[in-house]
Amino acid sequence: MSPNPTPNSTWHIDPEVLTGYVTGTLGRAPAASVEAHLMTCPSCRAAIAHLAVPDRLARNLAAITARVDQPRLNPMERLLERIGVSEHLIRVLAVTPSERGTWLTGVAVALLIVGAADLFSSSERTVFMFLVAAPLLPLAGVTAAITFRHDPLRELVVAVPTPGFKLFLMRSLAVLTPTIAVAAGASLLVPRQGWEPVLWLLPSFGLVASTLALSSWFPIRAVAWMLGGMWVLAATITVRGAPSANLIEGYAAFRPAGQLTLLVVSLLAGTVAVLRRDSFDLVDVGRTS
Amino acid sequence: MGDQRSDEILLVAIGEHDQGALNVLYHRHAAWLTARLTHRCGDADLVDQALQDTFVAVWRKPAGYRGSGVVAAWLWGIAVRRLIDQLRRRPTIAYLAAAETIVVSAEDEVLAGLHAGELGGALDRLSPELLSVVQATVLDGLSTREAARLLRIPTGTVKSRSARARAQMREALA
Repeated sequence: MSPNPTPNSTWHIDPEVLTGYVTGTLGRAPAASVEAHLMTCPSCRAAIAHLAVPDRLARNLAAITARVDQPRLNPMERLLERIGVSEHLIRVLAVTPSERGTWLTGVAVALLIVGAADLFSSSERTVFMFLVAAPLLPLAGVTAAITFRHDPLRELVVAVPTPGFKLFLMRSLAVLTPTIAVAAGASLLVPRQGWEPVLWLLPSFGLVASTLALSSWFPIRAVAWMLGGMWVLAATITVRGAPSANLIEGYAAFRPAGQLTLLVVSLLAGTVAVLRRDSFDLVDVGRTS
Repeated sequence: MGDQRSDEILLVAIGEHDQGALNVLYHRHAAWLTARLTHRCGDADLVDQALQDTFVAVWRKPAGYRGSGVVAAWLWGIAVRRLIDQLRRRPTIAYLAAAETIVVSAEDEVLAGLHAGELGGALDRLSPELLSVVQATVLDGLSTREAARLLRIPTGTVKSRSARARAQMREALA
C-alpha cells in the first residue's frame, strides 16, 4: 500500500484483494486497509460495484424507492422518530385502527356530557357515575388499539419482527395518552374539591395493567370485558342501598386504602406483564379478535 | 452511470427532492456499503435493511452532510448506525458475526495471510472480546458509548478492553 494514499491517487486496490474483500475471505488487517482506501477512492468504489450482485442491488433500490415515495411523516410521527422510535413502529402506531377515531370521539363526547351534566346537577350520583365510567374508557381504548381487527396494516404488523410486547406497550401508550388527557380535561369540569375528580386515575391504571398482564394468558378482549364488568358490578353492588349523599365514600376503590391497593395492583400487574413479555404473540391477538 | 455530478452536488439535488440524484448516489455507494456492512454482520437481510434505512435517511435529511470530510465517510457513519439499530432489535445476531460464519478455505487462508502482515497477525491474536472493541471504536469510528450499546457491555468495559487491546498489540508488534 502506498504510504500516503491521497484522494484520486493513482494507486488502486488489487482486483484480487478487492474480490477477497467482497467475498469475505480477506484477513482483518487487509480488510481494514481496503476500507480506509475506499473512503478516498471513487474508482475502487466503482470497481466494487462491478463485483456486487445486481439483483440484490436492484431489490434494495426498489425497496428504498417505495419508501421514499411514501407520504412524509406528520409532525407527531417525526417527533416519535426523533426520540428514537423506529420507523416501522411509527407506521404501526400511525395507522389508526378504524375504531380508534370513533371511540376517541365517543370518549370525548361521553366525558363532556357527564362533565356538563355535572356542572348543573353536581349531584353525588353523577360524579360517582363519572368516576366509575372513566376507567372503562382507557381500558376500551387500549383493547381496541391492540386488537385492531380492521387494521389495514395488520398483515404487515404481523410480519414485522417487532416483539409483540413492545408493540403492546407502544399502542397502549399511544391510546392512553389522549384518553387520559381527555378524561383529565373532563374531570376539571367536575365541581368538586380535593382529590375526588381524579379518583378514576388509579382504577384506570389498575384495569389496564391487569388486562395487559392477563392477556399474556387469555384473549385480551375477554379479559377486558371480564375486568371491566367486574369493576362496574362491584361498584353497583357496593353502593346499592347506600345513602346517595355518600356514594363515593361507599365504594372501597375510591377510599384511600382502595386507591393504595389499586396502585399496588397496577405495579404488580405491570411487573407480571414485563416478566411474561415473551408470551405476547401478536399473531394470536389478531386471530382472537 | 454517465452522471458526472459530484456526491456533494447530488446531495444538494436530493435536498430538492430529485429522486434521480438519489439513484445516482445509490449506484455509486450501495455496493461498497453492502460489502462493508457484511463485514460487520453476516446476516444478509439485516444488512439489506440497514442499507435501505441509510438511503431513506439520506433522502430525508441530506443536509445532515455538513460539508466536512468526504460523502462516503458520512454515508458509512449513517450506515453503521442503522446496522446497530437493526442489531439492537435482534439480540440473537451479533456484530462481527461475519468473521465467524464465513468459512475460509485453506487456500484462501494462505492467500489472506500473505496480505496480512504483522499488523494482521496482531489483530488476529486478539481475543474476540478485544477485537470487537477495536473493530467498533478504531475501525468503525464509533464513540465509546455507541460501542458499548452495540456490544451490550458497559462503557467502562469498552475503555478497559480497548486499553488492553492496545497493550497487547503493542507487545505483538514490538
